[in-house]
Amino acid sequence: MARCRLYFLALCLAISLLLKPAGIPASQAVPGSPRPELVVAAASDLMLALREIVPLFEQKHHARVILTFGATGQLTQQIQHGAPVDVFFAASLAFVEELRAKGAILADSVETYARGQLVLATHRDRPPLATLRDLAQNDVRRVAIANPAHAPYGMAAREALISAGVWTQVQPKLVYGENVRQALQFLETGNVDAAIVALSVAQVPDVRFAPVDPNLHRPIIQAAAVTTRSRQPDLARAFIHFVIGPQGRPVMKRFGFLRPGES
Amino acid sequence: MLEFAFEYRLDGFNLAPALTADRGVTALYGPSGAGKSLTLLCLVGLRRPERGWIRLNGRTLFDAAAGIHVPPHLRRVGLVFQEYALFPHLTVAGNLAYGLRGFPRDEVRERVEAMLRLLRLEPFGNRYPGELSGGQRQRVALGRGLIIQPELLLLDEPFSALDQMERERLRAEVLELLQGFGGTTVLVTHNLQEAYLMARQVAVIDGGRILQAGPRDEVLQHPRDRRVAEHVGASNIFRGVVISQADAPGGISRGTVVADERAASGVIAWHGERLAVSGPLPPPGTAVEFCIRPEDVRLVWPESTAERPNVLRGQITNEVERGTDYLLRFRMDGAASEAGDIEIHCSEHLHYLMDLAPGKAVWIAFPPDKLHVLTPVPDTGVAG
Amino acid sequence: MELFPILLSLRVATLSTILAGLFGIGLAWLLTHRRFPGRTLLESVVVLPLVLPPTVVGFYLLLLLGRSGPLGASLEAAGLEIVFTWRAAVIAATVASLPLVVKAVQAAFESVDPRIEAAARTLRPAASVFLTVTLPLAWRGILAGLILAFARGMGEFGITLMLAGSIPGRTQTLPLAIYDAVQANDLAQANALALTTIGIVTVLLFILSRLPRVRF
Repeated sequence: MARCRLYFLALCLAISLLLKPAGIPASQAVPGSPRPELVVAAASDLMLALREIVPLFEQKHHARVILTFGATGQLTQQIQHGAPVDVFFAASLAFVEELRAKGAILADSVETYARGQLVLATHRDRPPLATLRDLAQNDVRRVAIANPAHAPYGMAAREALISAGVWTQVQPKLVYGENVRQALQFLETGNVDAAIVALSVAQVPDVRFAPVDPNLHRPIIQAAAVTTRSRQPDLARAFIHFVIGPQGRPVMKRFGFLRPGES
Repeated sequence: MLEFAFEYRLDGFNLAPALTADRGVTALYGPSGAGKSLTLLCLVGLRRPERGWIRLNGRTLFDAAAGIHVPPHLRRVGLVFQEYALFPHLTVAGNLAYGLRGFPRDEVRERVEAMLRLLRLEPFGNRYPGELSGGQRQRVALGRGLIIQPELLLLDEPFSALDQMERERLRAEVLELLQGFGGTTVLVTHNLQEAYLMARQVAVIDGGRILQAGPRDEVLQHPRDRRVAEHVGASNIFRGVVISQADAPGGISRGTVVADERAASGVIAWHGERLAVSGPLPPPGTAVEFCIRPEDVRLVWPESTAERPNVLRGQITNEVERGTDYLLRFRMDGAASEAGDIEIHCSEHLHYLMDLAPGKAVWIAFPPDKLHVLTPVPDTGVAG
Repeated sequence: MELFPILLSLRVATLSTILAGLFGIGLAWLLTHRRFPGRTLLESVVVLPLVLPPTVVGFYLLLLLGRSGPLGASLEAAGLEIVFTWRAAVIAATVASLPLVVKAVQAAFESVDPRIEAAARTLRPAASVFLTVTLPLAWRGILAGLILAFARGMGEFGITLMLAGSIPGRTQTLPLAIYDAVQANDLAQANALALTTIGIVTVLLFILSRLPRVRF
């Protein structure tokens, strides 16, 4: 009996370890004033842009921003189920709308931060391709796009191919990546001959790209919003405005995130 | 004293033994598959019968109706397994001390040392079971059971895993150890000789039921029915008809003078012979089964036949030399088939003196007090 | 090279191995020694994390532990956050390792001679028998299970990503850091972290190969 209790105690101890916060190295806290913290969840393609913008925001607002990136769909699920996120930058308005319907975001905080721009990308070592119709050529054997089932850029790529009238020829050649970044990787590693990706990921040395006519697909409206469970709604709103405002916009533009109306 | 009567079902096998065992050694004897080991498991509490009860020295260990089932480690019952089941990761001392949890360290050490001395295993206290011989392991297993000072000791075919020499040596040692043990012992065996050597009481078990239990000699000499007779080696089982009961007129086969005081009580007709049988008989005209043990059949010198009752003439049809004695097959003159053949154990010496061989004509005799009448087995197949 | 993901993964793997070990040994004992209705169902559920895609497992855990889920709601009320914290990473690794532990330990328990356990039960209560006979005789299988659990915990990705997210400095474990590095096209970082993982596992296996080979 005593041994049985020992086992039980060991189990309780292990579970209690789960409660004790692990010794995560604390940030260089300014002694005296605790810095407010924001958790920002963003679509993967915003990685480079936001990583550059965040230090500027932190300095201005004396706040700390924790960035987490992932697939928009997955992030949506996580936010819906209680992930402690303050700001959500989605790759498509549709996901933000979904969360709005579930009451997970503050409706009046929704802002469009970019209009997604599709590009047709090829590897630098290959002859370039100008239009989607070129993808029907015989020497183009494989084309990568983001998965149209759940990735906004993938859905748009599909729409564009259909509009361009080459879907039936190109579809057998398609390779789906989890997101545009993975689609780009297939291109960079030479496993596909071309890729339809977002402008924001295509600006890498080995890749050449040409813009895809925006009229060929429904606009990819990328929106951000503040979550209802955020404990710092004002700071969260401030972050969104910072990104789309005068300080953030040049950086965003540089990484290919253009607001409607910009080029 | 151990008393029990319970029922335990396992995969279609119905175990329903009932027995009262006094202090001392009781042999639970029967063939493989009779339910011997299963009975021990139920007694020690590793299996739980569906019905019945088990009482040890007045304490109830199990009672299905009352919902009592004392856990094995609290029953004060020691069990020695057939293959010893020693703990391979503990030393001999560790094995012995295992059942003494909760006692002060000094006492445990003393008791372990005492037991090692008793088992004559003093130098082996710190060895592991893997380093011991079969006989040594057996002793440790026994010691492990005895050290807890149980009221009941159960031995499950303790010698079957040993070779002949070790077996005999160990039997003597274990007997000695058991003399010092004041409680009840139940020894499971399928070896009749072992049962005879080690136990004072014998319980014959087969088909999950105890067919007969009682003092050793009684069970062996007076098996209750054909089934028990077959089990205890009274392999000459015959059918006859009662002619007369005690002290009734009616001659006996040969000679009128009986060698000892026990007068033939009755007469049974068998194969044209009239056999004198001691002991009570059913009324005349009853068909009976009776038996005689092979070692009780007497070979008679031709010149002595007139003095003896129940003398028969016939031939040796077959003999098997067993090193220490002979197993003879005897067919009566005039016997129709080998169905009535009689099995005889004959010492080598006698075999030599009488110059026996297959084909040889001999005389045999059935001592009247060795002819034992069997109770007919009822059709339900369960003997009492 | 960042140290945080390495330290976090080591902590997560250690905790998840302990938890998977405790639960796993208990479950394995139950499945080996007791017959009860629903036993096969329990075995199937235990094996599920091996069969289902990690994202799916993560999704169901999210449903369960998220604030709208049955467990998550009460945990949140108690002030305990699970989703997107290091605790979620531990839970993810535990769930992923559990089937490995259960299967390894089950096999180990089944290899213990039941007669030895039976002999022990005539001398001591069942709990004591478990600790002093069953466990020592099964230790090699248990150890194998724990090693697998640790390795699995170090490499856990899909479930962790779904339940804990990949927050640098908070929940970004070693595998998540490698993935993020690849995503950011920082192959140097990715390679460094991958080599670290291999290094840790190699050291672990080396230590284990040095353990005495005790034969019973």
